[in-house]
Amino acid sequence: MYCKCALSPYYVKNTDRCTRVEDSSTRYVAEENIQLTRPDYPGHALLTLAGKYFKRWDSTSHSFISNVKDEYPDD
Amino acid sequence: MAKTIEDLPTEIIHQILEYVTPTTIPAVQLVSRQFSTIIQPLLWRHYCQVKYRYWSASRSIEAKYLDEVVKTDWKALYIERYRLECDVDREINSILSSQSGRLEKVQSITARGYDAKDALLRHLKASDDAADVLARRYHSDAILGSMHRREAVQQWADLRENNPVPWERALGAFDMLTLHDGPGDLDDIAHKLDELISRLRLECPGIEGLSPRRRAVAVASFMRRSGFDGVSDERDYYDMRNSFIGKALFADDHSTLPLISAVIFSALAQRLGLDAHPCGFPFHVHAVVKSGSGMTLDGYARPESFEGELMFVDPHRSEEEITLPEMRQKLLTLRLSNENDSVLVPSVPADMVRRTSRNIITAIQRLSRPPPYRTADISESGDMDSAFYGALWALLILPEGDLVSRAEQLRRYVPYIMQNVELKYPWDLGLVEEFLLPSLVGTDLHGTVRETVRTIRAGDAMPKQPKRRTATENRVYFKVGQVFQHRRYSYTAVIIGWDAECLADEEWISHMNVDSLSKGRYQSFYHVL
Repeated sequence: MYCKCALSPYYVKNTDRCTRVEDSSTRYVAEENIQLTRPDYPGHALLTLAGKYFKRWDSTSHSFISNVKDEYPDD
Repeated sequence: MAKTIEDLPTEIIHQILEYVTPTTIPAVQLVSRQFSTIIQPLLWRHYCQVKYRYWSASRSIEAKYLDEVVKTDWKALYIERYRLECDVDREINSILSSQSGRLEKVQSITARGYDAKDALLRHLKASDDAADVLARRYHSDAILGSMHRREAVQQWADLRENNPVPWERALGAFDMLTLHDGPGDLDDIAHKLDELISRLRLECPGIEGLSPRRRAVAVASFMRRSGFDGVSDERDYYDMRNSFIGKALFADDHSTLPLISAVIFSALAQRLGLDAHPCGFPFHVHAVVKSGSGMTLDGYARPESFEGELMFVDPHRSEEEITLPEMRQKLLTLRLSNENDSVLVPSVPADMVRRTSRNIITAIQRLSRPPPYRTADISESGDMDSAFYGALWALLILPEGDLVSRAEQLRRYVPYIMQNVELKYPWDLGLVEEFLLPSLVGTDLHGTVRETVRTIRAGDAMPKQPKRRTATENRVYFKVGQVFQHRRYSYTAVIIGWDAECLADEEWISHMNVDSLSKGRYQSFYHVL
């Protein structure tokens, strides 16, 4: 009944097919693939979406301030 | 000569008191009996008008403002609204402070409809200094979006119930899908059309006395000289924006598809008493005007048995009348003569809603990348997602054809809607329950959707399991909130969560070749945005 896209967040509907998430809004990344940046400004795109998980941007620490403390209390 | 303030005329005292804030009114009321009687109720009405812009339609606030002051208990209304604003503030703060239980709180807000809109807008415009500014703006916008979608879906649901819905509201519903904090909602659209008619009446005094034919041509001609003359030069014909009546009315270029031109024409013509409607001519919607039985288009009386005459207009291309024979000739040219006259009759709003949905969906699919995608302008791609998703809702609420073909349409669209609700628009769960589930009763989709709804609700109600960083755990090096660049794909993202090891399903692991990474699947994995 449901296609893969409806069942897993790692698939997306591409007109009629279910394709791999290569370009979706949330992803899952291995630690070794992460290269920290400490930008002065995170960019308009990130700022718009960040409100879902973060309170605000902190320019001193060059990171976002968490609003998911109930799930990650030590972060 | 006035000796004390009370000697001043009432009107002057009123003007002075308008500077008093509502919270100090109780103190002012105690000054004297005269002050007490003067303040009610004109001042309370003034505060309602000035402090709050949006009210739920059920209150009929416009009618109340126009009616005699004493007919409404303005003080009670103000107090009720003030309390509502405080309640909404409290609910928003509660939503911001915890990830769980949000669904119920959001539904409590959206259930209030437009009464809650001013409060949401206030939070949407939170100042940059606010400690949780990003979260406040994001969530207010998301809740507002859901509320606006509810308004849109409600119009289409009314059409489904065969309730009469004016053309401009049926099509204006699409504008609600990408409204955010801008102007151009259903009421604004109606007012704009009223404004245009007022202007037309000024330009053509005595227009009410003209024959139907001349009135129709006057409207078409007015439209064209006011800038409503088709697709603007800067826009592609298939640009999504040409399908929105609100955008056409409020934008400087008034760019439209023929369908929307025909709807605007009909909405204006109806305000002048004409029996005007869009008609579904193939490839290019026109407008059809009927003279009414017992009368010709030139206003001459005929016996009651006389069915009336038809004329056509295509304001998208010209201000001139097109006769029925000319329309038949056009059909012949298109080699569609076997359609008879079935496309030369007034259409119904549900048909034009479906057409507009398909136009919007096609317009978005024509772009090189299908949704979801990132464009340079994140808000525009977000709006395209919303418009696409909203257009699907319209097709879902108003499937066409016989039972079998309707069932097929539902089967095609429901999975996509549910996926979107789950991933991007969780606050629309209420819409699914109220407007979608009932229409699925008796189909095999009903059970699946109801189950999904239950899962989502349960997931939302459950408090999140805290993931603590203990010393014994395999070190999770990065933390929530850090910004990074992906070493292989080069995109920039932010960390929103982590797992001490890869917890995706086997299929994902093998597809992404996780095991061939130097640290394999037993390194920390991060959820990122």
